[in-house]
Amino acid sequence: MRIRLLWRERVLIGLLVGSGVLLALLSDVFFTPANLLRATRYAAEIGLVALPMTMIIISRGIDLSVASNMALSAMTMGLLWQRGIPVWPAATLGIAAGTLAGWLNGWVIARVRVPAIVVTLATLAVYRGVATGLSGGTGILGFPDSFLALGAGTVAGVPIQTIIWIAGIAAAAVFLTRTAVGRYIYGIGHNETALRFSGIDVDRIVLGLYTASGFVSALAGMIYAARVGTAKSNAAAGYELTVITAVVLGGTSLAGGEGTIVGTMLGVLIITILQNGLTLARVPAAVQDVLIGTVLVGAVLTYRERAGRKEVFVIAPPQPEPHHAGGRVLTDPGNDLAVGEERRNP
Amino acid sequence: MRYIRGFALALTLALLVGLAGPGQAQKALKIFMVPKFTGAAYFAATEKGAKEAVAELKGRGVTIDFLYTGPSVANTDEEIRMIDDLVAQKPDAIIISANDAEALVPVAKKAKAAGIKVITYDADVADPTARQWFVNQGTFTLVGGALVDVVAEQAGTSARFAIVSADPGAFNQNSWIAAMKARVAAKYPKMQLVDIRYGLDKPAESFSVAQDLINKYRGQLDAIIAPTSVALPKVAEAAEQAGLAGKIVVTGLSTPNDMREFVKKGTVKTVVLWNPVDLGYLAVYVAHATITGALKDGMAKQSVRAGRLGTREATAQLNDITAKGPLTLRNVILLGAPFRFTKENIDRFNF
Amino acid sequence: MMMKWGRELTILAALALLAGYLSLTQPNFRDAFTLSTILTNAAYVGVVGIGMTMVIVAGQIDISVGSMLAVCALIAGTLARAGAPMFLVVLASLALGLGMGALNGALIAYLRIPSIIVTLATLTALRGAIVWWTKGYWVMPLPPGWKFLGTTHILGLPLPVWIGWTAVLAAAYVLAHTIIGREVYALGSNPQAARLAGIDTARVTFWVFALSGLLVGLATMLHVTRFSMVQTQEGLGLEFLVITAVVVGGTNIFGGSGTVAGTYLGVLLLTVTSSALTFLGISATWDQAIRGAFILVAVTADIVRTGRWRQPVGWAR
Repeated sequence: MRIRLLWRERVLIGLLVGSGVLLALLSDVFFTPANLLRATRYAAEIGLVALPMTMIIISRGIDLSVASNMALSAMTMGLLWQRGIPVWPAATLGIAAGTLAGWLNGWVIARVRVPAIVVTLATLAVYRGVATGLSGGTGILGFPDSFLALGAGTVAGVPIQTIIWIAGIAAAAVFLTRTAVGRYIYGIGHNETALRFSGIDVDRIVLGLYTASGFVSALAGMIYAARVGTAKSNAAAGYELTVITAVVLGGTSLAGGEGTIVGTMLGVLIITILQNGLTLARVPAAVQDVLIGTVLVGAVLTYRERAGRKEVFVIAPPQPEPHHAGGRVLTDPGNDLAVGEERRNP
Repeated sequence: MRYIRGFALALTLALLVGLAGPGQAQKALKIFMVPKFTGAAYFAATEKGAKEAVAELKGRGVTIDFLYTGPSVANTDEEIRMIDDLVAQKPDAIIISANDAEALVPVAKKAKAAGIKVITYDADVADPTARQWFVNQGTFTLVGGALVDVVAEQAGTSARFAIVSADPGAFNQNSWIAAMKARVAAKYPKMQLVDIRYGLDKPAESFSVAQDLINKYRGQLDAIIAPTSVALPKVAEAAEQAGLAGKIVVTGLSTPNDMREFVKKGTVKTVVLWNPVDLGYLAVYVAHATITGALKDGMAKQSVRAGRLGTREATAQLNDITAKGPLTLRNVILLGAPFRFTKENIDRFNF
Repeated sequence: MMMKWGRELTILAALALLAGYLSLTQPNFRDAFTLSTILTNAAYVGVVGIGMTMVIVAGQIDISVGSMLAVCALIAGTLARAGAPMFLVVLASLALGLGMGALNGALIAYLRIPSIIVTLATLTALRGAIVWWTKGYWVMPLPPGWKFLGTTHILGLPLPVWIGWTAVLAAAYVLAHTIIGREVYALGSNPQAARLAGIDTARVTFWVFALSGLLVGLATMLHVTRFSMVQTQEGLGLEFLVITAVVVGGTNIFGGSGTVAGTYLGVLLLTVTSSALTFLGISATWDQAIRGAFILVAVTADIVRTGRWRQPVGWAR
């Protein structure tokens, strides 16, 4: 099984390595196994949620409610646990609640056909709002050590959430590149009408994507609660933007139809080491924000100039053109396209 | 156009190098201070005090590698991550003001387990075993009580008052509110707490919430307390614009610089606070004393020398009231009683 | 006409219901002062909403308006403190807003970076820059002339309300009855067709963002001149409020349709709801959930009214 690296991904690897070298020079603590492994704890939370997010964005959708889902799931678990349910069943129920929330997103998007950005913008507020209302804003704490190990424990020196994340990466990568449904996801992003006419149940795939996003967000929410030790309604505030930043940095286009798991993971790693290394280098947080914003814009600029003239109107879709129906895979000398991608006509 | 990419990369890297802080100092005591967020005059004042203490200690031959850093806006996740990263640098002591008392416990414990002295200031963590000492600017009981006393003095002992708070989940806000209620119950049984609304630490929301309160309880509200420096000036503004300046008592927690104009005009007769410069100053001295062992972990009845402040008592147990009910604070060093800023004395202070 | 203004009338009805209920049950709600308060608080949000409506109608999005407002506010306050006359301060705020909007517009229209990324980067970078520059210190004291714009009353309502209404009416006219307005709608409706019809889509997009920035500069002066100090936390969360108002006001998130009037009514509805929470004694912890519910209700109403959303392809997912 050969892994072809796209040009974009090579740029990202270069950026990752370059930043890593620079950060290692700026602080002698940065490039130690202990520090790097610790940093992967944070990367795992973002990285897990970024997996279904990548697929959703490839399919030309978006899910802004992931962080609120994390908070809601964690709060559900906390409230159930407070009422006497043992922690692991409570966690399972919390994950179920998050999955249901994701399914609800998917149902309104796929069956009622409301635009994803509107639905998830609303559920971003509603899910977190419900968590706040139910808990009155106070946190729940005192979870047993067996649960906290999910966020703080290690296996053979590797943090548990990192292991879960790596498993998730493998599963997602295989799913997206090697299964038929994975290819259909790219197809939905490219030309949904054509796919529908081909007899594929697009609605079901979309529903599945958002349900999966809910499930993974809920799982990440449990890991977050275990790491922080509390279930609180303001958990993971703003994470959705970080996840989307990582996905876009990784080369996934918001117009849909392209993106890879490898790219997203590189994006997650870059953001993580920048945050980690810059703090160690004593760079103020405000400056870190500016830098990460610049890196993001710079990276997207770089992809743009290479990828050719494509209309990217993020909100308004281009109308499907008849001669693209069915799609054709053109030759790909520049190694620009991932499996299943198609070069858009200039 | 490949060189654009390379140029952008090089520029970014150059920026990073240029903005990196000073390199590691050898053989100096490393003390890190992490406020709730750096974007507040209040915390900038604590930084000022801390740096003053560092300079004084340097004059006495103690070199300290001091770093003041934190999230740019109040963000618990970012604070946890930053502290986690700072702990990896193995400082001798870390001074923290916790955005979320409970959420910061694990990372504080981790620091303590790694041999780092953990001192909290301004806002404690929920578990006292997670840190060595809490430098308390004033117990919730004292501060909440002072606010209520001000209302009683200026609006009468049967006043009807409302509270404009920050975030409904904020531990210190809720603790002050609990202390206020306790004081009312104990000393002013005829006083009434009419309503509590939340401005979420946003100026526009605090203003409109204050306006709504004034409108809703027209003629039936005698005072508003705003124990948050973001909201207090907006509450004063709302009272002025409703034509009720001087007729509604407005008071709360804020810095003298922020409230000077309102105090001079008379809209706000008294502002309650403590001296954040002194707070940061004391925190550094406590950290230093803990590192050198002058202040021993958990021993009852010690005192710590803090430069120009003289000595402060380090108590193993102090009773207080919090959002979760009565609490015995453990291992606390109290800065002092809350201070009242009025027209007469406000010009003496600059923070 | 009913069909064309259906959405606006629905919001008006909801507003009337809510305000009516409050007036009947809360004696203090229906007096002139409360009304003035609501209109004044809605004024600057409405002006920002004009710009946001244009941006969304053109098929883009702008989540950096809050940070832009804070920057304009802080610079304006600093200039006023340094002794600049107020008209110069206002001009500076407008120019600064225009400049920041133009920066967004250039990156989006000419470098073709998706608007969500550009405005996300601008949002973070500007907020970071503000914190870094001010260290949290507020800008004060401000000279006596500062509050003139914000507190002078004409016919019982403060200037910002009148200026806001003028802006809304002017924008509504421009969007509905001028060529440039048509071009914005065309661009949002079908960018390919617009280009083929000879519209310079890049230029229109650029100017939409630049004008939106200018409006933020105006809104800043309508807002901060009511207070005695400029706080660094100004504008936090403004973008979510404005986008909610735009969506509730009937603008199609895809672009191509929407009115400034609808947005303004949406702003009013959200402002009244906020006050309603206080008056009705509902815990503020439900505020966010209620806002989200509003969006869902508004959007469902659209589905019910038109039978189906605009099309199944593209960002429906």
